[in-house]
Amino acid sequence: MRLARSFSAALHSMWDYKGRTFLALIGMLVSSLLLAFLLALLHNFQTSIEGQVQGFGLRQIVAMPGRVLNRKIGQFDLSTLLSITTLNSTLTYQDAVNVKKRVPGVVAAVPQTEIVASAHYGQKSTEILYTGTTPAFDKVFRLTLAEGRWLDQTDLQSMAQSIVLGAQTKQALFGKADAVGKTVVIKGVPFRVVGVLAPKELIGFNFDERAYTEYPMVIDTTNVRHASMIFFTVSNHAQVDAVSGQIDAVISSDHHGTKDYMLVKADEALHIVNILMKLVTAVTVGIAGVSFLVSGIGIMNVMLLVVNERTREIGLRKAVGAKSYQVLLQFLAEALIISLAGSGIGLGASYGLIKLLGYYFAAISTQMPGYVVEYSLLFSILTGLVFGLAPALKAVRIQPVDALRYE
Amino acid sequence: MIALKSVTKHIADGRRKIPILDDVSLFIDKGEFVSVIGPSGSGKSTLLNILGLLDKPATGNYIFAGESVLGLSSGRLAAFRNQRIGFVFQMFMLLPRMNVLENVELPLLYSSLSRRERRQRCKEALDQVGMLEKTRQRAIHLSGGEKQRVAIARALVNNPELILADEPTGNLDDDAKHAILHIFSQLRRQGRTIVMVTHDVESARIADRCLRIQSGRISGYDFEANPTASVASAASAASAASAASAASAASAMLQNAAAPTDREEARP
Repeated sequence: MRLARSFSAALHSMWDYKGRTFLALIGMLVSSLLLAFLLALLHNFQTSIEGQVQGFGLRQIVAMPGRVLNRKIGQFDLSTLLSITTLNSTLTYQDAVNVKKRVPGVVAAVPQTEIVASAHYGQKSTEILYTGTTPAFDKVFRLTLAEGRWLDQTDLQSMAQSIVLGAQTKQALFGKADAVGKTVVIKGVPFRVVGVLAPKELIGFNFDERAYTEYPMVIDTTNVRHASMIFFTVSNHAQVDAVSGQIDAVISSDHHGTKDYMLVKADEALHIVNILMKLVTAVTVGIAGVSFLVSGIGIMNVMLLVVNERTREIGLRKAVGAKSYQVLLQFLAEALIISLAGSGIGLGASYGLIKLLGYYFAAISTQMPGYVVEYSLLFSILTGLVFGLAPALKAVRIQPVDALRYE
Repeated sequence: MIALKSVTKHIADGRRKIPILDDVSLFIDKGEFVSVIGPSGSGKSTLLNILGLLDKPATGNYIFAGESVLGLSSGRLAAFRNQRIGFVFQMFMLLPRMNVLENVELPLLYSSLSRRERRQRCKEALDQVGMLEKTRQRAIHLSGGEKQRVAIARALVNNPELILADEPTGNLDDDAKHAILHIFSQLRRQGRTIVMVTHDVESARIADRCLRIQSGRISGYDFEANPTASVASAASAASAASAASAASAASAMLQNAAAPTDREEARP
């Protein structure tokens, strides 16, 4: 019997026992869905982060409060990440100014400070991140304005009490009405709205629930004294390492040698993301492996039951000329078809879920990478073959003379 | 055509061996229709299973068309059953969820025929048993007589040299039984080699000769089983001989089987 006939006979039998086939198929469907969805999600998450970090710019260096306890020279890896100790920030506006002044390779030094506050407009109010920064901030993050303009040097120098609202802040206070020219009150200080940002998604950042004003204004109106981060833009990507060293020297000198901050480069961030993703991917594949094992056992159990029920049929087939390998092929084909069908449906469902996720989280891409499909199919083929073997061998061992007497 | 020589078969019951077939020798010529009658447990079905290569004897030899077949590998035995033997079982052994055509096609699935050739052969076999109109009907919906006709069509579909029937009328009412016996009579007239096991004397009478088996031994021929068998072939002449002469014929075949070159030369 040719291979095609084995598959044809397998399909026929599966149709005859559709209830059991369906039960066996469900396990594989769930396993495949789990594997494909999680791997695709991780892939898309990583792709999105990489894209956003690259979009943010590989020429960026971020100064953050905290200390790396055992950082090796020139190396930023998972152990480094795990050794970060959070500290209260000692970074200042002056650090940004000094770096910009003393390090020629730095073309922009943008501090950011923030605190949760209430913003009021008329009877409406909303919780926001009251954020102080400098006019170069929008260039660093390539912000787009929905209305008005971004903060400028005049605002900074004259402390003009100008404010730019994030998209959600504007929506909460003004709804669909124009906000530019209106006055909002934060910390008892009236601010004139000069601009509204378009919605922006960047993993790890929140732009929409903020209100941006001049850095000194936040310092003057709150008890916050330090920058939460300072963003540095380097003139040339090739100089990032060298410039990072120079920035470190300047800040370290200003902090009297106290290392209570760290400098993170964009490619280091990507490196960390890659390491984390590999770790999570390994865990995911492990979990999916267990799931495939369980569904494989399910297939085996169902197939063993089917072989028992079809003992007379197997005996008849052997009596009329089926050879052992043909019986083996037929039952292996059944297990394989169940696995592949379950896997195919699982892949389709995971594709649908990924698209659905993309609909709700625009920052995440919605690709179904080829390797995910390959992994899923490979796992299902292996599961089908390995767990279909025992029932197939049981069928092979059936003697026609015994089977024909089987009640 | 086929010869059994000193075949024994037993089953183990603890340390005790219970004989099923005891030194059975048998010779059946090409085109001969032999019925085997005997009470339940006499070894009829075991004899048929050995003739059908579904079971192996403990001792003895089996020659099929000049070839000693007991030493064949399981793969060759399967091919042998597929191409040279047709089975009709008492319980029909149809696959209930398949339709008539698919049931008849089953042996052909293990041959190298194309789908078109398979379907053509199935239709011819079904036509022979008068079931051509019901090819698409599921086996589960057929009457007992119809099921047995389909089973006969399945046995004929590969045009085998030997047809083995195990109580083919055992589960049928009188009308269905006569219809099935009529089909076997037709097959006999076509010159098919048939061995039919039955405990029904009326069914056994349609054969060229009848063997009686009791306690695993062929105890002698029942000459009255078919008194009108005047059209008997040369083989049926042998049916008038004693059990000893059947054993002699079997021995002669065994000797021929041991000298295949001579046998090949002797063929026209």
